[in-house]
Amino acid sequence: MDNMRELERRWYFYKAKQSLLSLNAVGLVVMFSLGGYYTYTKADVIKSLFNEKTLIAETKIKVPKTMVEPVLVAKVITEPLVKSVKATEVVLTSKNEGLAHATLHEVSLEPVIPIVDMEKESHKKTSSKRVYKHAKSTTHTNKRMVKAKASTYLTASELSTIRKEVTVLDSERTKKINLNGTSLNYIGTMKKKFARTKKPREALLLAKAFYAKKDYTNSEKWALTANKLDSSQDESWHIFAKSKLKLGQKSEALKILSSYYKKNHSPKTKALIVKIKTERL
Amino acid sequence: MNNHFENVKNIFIDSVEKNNYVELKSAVYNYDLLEKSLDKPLKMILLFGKPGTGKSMLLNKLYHNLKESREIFYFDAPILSEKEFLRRIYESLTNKEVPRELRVNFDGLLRYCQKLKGKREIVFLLDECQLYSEALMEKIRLLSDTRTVKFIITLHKTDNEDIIAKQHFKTRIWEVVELSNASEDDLHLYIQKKLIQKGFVEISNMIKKKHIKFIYTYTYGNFRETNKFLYTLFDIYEYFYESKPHKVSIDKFSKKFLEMTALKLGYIDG
Repeated sequence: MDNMRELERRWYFYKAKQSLLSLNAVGLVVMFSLGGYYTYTKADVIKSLFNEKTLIAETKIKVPKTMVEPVLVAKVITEPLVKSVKATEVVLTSKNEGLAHATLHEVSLEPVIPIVDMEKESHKKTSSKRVYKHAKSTTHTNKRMVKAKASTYLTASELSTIRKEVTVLDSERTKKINLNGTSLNYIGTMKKKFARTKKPREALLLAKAFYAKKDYTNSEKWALTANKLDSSQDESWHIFAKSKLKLGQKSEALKILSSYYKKNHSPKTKALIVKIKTERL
Repeated sequence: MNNHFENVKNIFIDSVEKNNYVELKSAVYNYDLLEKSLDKPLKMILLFGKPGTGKSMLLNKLYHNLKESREIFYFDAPILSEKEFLRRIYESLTNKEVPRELRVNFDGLLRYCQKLKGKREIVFLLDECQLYSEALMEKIRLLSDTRTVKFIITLHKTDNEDIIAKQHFKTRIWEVVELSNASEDDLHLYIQKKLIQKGFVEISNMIKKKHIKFIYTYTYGNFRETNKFLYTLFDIYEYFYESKPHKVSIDKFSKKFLEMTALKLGYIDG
C-alpha cells in the first residue's frame, strides 16, 4: 500500500519534471522562431550593417555643382570595348544621381577581358575617393583606369611574377615517405598489440595477414579468435571458412557459411558460398 | 463490481504451461520448422535466442503435442550432474528405475543405444543447455551419433558468445531455429490473445496501438519483459480499483498507470 503511494508520488515528480522539460523545449522553439523571423524580416537592415563602409564611401562622393561636363567614368572603362553602348546611357548629370547609379550598374555588366596591367596595378592602391578625384578630368581618367589589353600575351614582368608563384608552390608540395615494413614485423607487432588490447579488430587483421601469407592454419585460428570476441563481424566468418577451404575442408567451410547466412542474410556471405560451390575461390 | 484486475494480472505470470501458449505467426512458423526437423535424419537441433523469446514455451508445446505419437522426453530443468543426467536418460530409454546406489556406465549406455538403431527413435528435449558442462555436451553429442537418440537443445544467445562458433556444434547441428523478440504488431496480438483466451475481452479492447507502442519502447517485444510489465500494470490497477476507484476508468487505458509501471520497473527515472 505504502509502496503504491510512494510510486504515485514518484510519478507526480516525474510528470513535473516532464512538464518543465516540455516548457523548456517550447521556449527554445519560440526563441528560434522569433530569431528566424526577425532575421528574415530585418535582412536589409543587417545587410546594410555589413555594407556600412561602402555606404559611407558613397555618401562622401559629392558631385561639384560647378561641373558642367558629365563624369564619364563608366564610359572611359568600356569605350574601347563596347562601342554599341549609346552615349545617352552613360551620360551622368549632377542632378540625376539615380540615373547615374543605374547606368554604372548596366555598364559594369559588359564583358571585361580579365588581364590586368601589373605595373599600373601596383600604383593603383587608391580609395574610391581618389578614383573620384581622378575622374574629375577625363584626360587623367584615361591614364589611370585599367584598360583591356590588345593581346592576351603576358608581359615579361607578369610572367616573372607567375613563375615565382609556381616555384613557391613546388617547394610547398608534400613529399612521399616510404612506410613499408616486412610482413613478419607486421604480424609480430599485431600479435603484441592484440595481447595488449584483446580487440577483435587486431585478431581479424592477424587472420587476414596469415591468410595473405597462405598460412591457413594460423589464419583459421585467428579468425576463430576474432569471431569469439565479436561474432557479428562478417569477415571473421569469411576468413575462417576460406581458411577451412584452403585446408581442404570444403564441406565444413560451406556448412559454417550456410549456418551463418541463415542468421545474417548477408549478400557477401551468399556470394562467398556461391564462389566456394563453383570453385572460383 | 468485483476487482477482476487480480485475475488479469495473474495471466501474465511468467510460466511455460501449454495453456498459456499464444499462437503468433512467427511462433507457428518456428513450431512447424521444429516439428518438420524431427522427421529429418538429424542428430541435433538447436533452438536458440535471447532470454524471454519463447524457447522454453515452444519446447513445452512441442512435448505436449507429440508425447502421444512419439517417444519424446522433456528435461525442462538442466541436470547438471553427469551421473544424474545419464540415469535420467537410461530410465527414459528403458522405463526402469535405477537404484540410487548404482550408476549408469556411459559406454554401456552407448552400446545399448547402438543396439536400438533402426528399431526405435527417441527424442530428448533439453532446455537451458548453456548450463551444461563441455564434458556433458560431448556425451550428448556421442549419444546423438548413435542415431537412436535425437536431441533438441535450447541455448541462450548472448552478445559475446555465438554458440555456432563453438567447434563441437559446428559439425553436428544440422538445423538451427532462431527465435527473436516480437514485433510491435505481434506484441499487440500476443497481449490481446492472452486476455481474450481468459475472457477479458473488454480489457483487451481498452488497449490501443499507442499503449502497445509505449510498452514496446521499454520491452523491445521481449515476452518475458512484456509479461512482467503487464503484471505490474494490472497490479497497479488492482490497487487503485480498491483504494481509489474514482481514478480508474474502465473505458480507456490509463497513461498514468503505464508510466507508473515504467517507473516501478526502472525503465524511466522518477
